[in-house]
Amino acid sequence: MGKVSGKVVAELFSFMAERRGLLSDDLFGSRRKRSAIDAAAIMVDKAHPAGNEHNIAGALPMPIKAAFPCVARGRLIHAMEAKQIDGDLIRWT
Amino acid sequence: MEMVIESNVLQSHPVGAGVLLGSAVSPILFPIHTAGLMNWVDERVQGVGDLSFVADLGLVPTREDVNQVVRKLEACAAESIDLADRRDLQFDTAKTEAALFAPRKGHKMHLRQKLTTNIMGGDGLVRFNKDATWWLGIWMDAHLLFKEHQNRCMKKARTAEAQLHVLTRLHGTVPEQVRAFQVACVQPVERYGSKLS
Repeated sequence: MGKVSGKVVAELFSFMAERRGLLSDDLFGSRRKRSAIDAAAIMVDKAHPAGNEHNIAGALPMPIKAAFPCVARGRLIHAMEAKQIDGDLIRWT
Repeated sequence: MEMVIESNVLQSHPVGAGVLLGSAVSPILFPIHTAGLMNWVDERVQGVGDLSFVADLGLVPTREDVNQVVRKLEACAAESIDLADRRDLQFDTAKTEAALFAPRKGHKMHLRQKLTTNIMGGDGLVRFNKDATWWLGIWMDAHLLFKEHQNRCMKKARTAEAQLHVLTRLHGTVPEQVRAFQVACVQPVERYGSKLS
């Protein structure tokens, strides 16, 4: 039951975030039609600008260590309130 | 949090941080928590392309001079780490490798000296990988030709094919099923990222 309700809430969050534009255009993963391949393609496009063969690009991938367990709950709730996310969804979190 | 091991309920402990691992909601909650990280870097370091994949941040400055690119990368790393610290997050600099890309092959010798140096990333050094850098399952080489990526994918696909061959020989699977397994297990490995090259 927890998994089912989690998926429903995830759908609601996703719908709300996309509709209100809460997520950056440069954010991939956990969003529809924004796969890892799309992210890599955009990185290649940024590193390899068309018509400019003299440029050199650098890339620095920075993974966040123990990302999910390190989310401070109070700070997350505050961020959700600041983005005016529905109170029921905040309480569910 | 309360652990139960073989019907024995252990002492409960309050959990003040973290979103659930394996939950469908966590990959959406995490970007809400880190919202503003890319804007923070953009405002402080000009001319840097950045993108993020859930908990992976990618920074791509472009310049005509290698030293300028390296300085931009250092500035980006410093700013990202600064904001992450304020949000009780840490970047895994031990696993991080920076890369330099040059469209022209003539750049290769010019870059070679820099490829052996390191840039500062928080409390440690981030080294450059002169062969290919891995990000989101894609191996990116210095000229973005993806030959290294293709070779690695083909090697993994051949291994999967060999394992499938052993399984089907042992269990006498019918040809239609072998074909279905091949399509499901081997082809996606072989073709991952093929659109990029």
